[in-house]
Amino acid sequence: MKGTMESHIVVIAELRGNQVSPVTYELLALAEEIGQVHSFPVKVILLGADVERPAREIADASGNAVLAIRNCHLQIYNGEVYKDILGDVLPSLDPVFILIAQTTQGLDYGPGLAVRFGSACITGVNAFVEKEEGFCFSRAAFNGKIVTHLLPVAKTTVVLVQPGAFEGLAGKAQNSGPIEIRISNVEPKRMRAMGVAQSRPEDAGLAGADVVVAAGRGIGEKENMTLIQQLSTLFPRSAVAGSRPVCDMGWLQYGRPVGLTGATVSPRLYIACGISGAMPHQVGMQGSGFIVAISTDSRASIFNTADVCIQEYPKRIIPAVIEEFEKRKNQRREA
Amino acid sequence: MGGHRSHHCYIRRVVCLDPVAKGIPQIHQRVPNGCHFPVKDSGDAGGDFFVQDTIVQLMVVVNNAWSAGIRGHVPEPFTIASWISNYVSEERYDLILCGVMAEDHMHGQVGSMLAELLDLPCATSVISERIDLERGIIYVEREIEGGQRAELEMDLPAVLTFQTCANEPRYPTLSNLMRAKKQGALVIPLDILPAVRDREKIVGVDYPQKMRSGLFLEGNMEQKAALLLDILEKEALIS
Repeated sequence: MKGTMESHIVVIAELRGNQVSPVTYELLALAEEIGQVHSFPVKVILLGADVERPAREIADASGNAVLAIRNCHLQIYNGEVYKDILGDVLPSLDPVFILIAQTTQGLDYGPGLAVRFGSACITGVNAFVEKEEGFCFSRAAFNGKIVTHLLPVAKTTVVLVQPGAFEGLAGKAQNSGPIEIRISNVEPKRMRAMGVAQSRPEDAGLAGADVVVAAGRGIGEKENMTLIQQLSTLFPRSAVAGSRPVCDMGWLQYGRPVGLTGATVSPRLYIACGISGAMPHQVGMQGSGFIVAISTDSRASIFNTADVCIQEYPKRIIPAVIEEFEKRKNQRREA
Repeated sequence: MGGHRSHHCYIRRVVCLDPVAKGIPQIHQRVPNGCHFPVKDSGDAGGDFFVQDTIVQLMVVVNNAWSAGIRGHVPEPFTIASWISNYVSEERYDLILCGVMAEDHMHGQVGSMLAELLDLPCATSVISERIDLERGIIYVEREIEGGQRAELEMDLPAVLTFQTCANEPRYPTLSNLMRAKKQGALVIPLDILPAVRDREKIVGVDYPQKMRSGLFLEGNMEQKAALLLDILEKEALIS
């Protein structure tokens, strides 16, 4: 790794509807962590059609220098424009690490950007750890059952960071960072963003639920969705959701998968029934207040993020829970 | 459409499959010659058009899997993309299709790296597509956060990475299976492919750490159910 004064740790900020996405502050937290080991300055790059206000927000919160690039074609994300602008800008910063959020946007342009720069590319990063060989990035593999530690051996490393893996910077920095605003005239050549279709209405109920009962492939068969529905009725303001495979198989109405490309939920209680807990699913539910996981697989990664773990078949334990609930309800009535 | 505008009713498409553990270090290419099939979604071309499919499957050797430490040749995504690019760049395909992310290593990198190596536009996490052959354009919808869908128009040739169940799986008929057997497979030995220098290396493998208390409930079914309700009542999560 090159260690000149000009080198930088670069954070690519992410906007959602012209708001700074919270994962941007998680990237900044990781940049600080890396900065304690590799003493390179941090530079934040922000791309968009309207960048002044978000650039100010990031500079105030982090105290880092922000390079905001305005491009009129970025009202909606366009991977080609992103890569072309970053391809122009990044060489002058001599980046050692380029930190990008592992969102559908980050995964769209990050690996291609790594190829353009001859960089290493490590996706799904959830920790920065010291090993005998040096400082490494950790990531989950095999449905979250193992963690691999990767050592970059290229001059530059593109790091895609799993949302929620690092605690984001909070509050304001002592001194606001300097902001530079540039105008980019890069135009889309071979791909044009046409618009974004909005979520289906049924997603709204999921977002507002106090309790989410979610089904995974481990419930066994479609007929067992009835049990999931019954379990959810024990709780007021509850909703039924599922993992992506369950939605793909048509066991649950499409539009309700919880995860990276589905809904992100943070209910008071999340009950995962027969869900393995792969990274894309966990991204969507890890902010839940209290997590109960039911799975027959003692090594299911969902157990690593749960408060309470039940190693059972969902179709056997759920009727037992419902029966016990009814029994207690009747006892309370009689008392 | 790229260099193929004269072939109005054909589109050349290659499907790149994930590496398969415990195989042989060769690239298999299977050309089901004559297995052209009509595509219902014909876009604005009018009538059915036909697709010539090639399947590229990369097979790699994994020694003793992860539990003994990954000592075998587990190529990193850039290496896989480079190998596929080496083959595909000679063939001038109109559409290059990959999965969005393998279930094992979950890198989600090969498709967009391949596009960059081939200097082609790329859309990831695609859930639907429609081709306009006359204009040499493909319309795609990408699945993005919150269940939203980003709509794109792209010039062909292009690389797409598909989400699971974006399309109904098309299983080969018995007669096509037999035909494919007769066709055999083109095997490209690894040693004629370009050597690709590693850009990162695995230096350790662990079990994941627990992020929360992870209390395992003990007892028979009824006892576990009662324990769960005790905890939920204590946490004021059920009444």
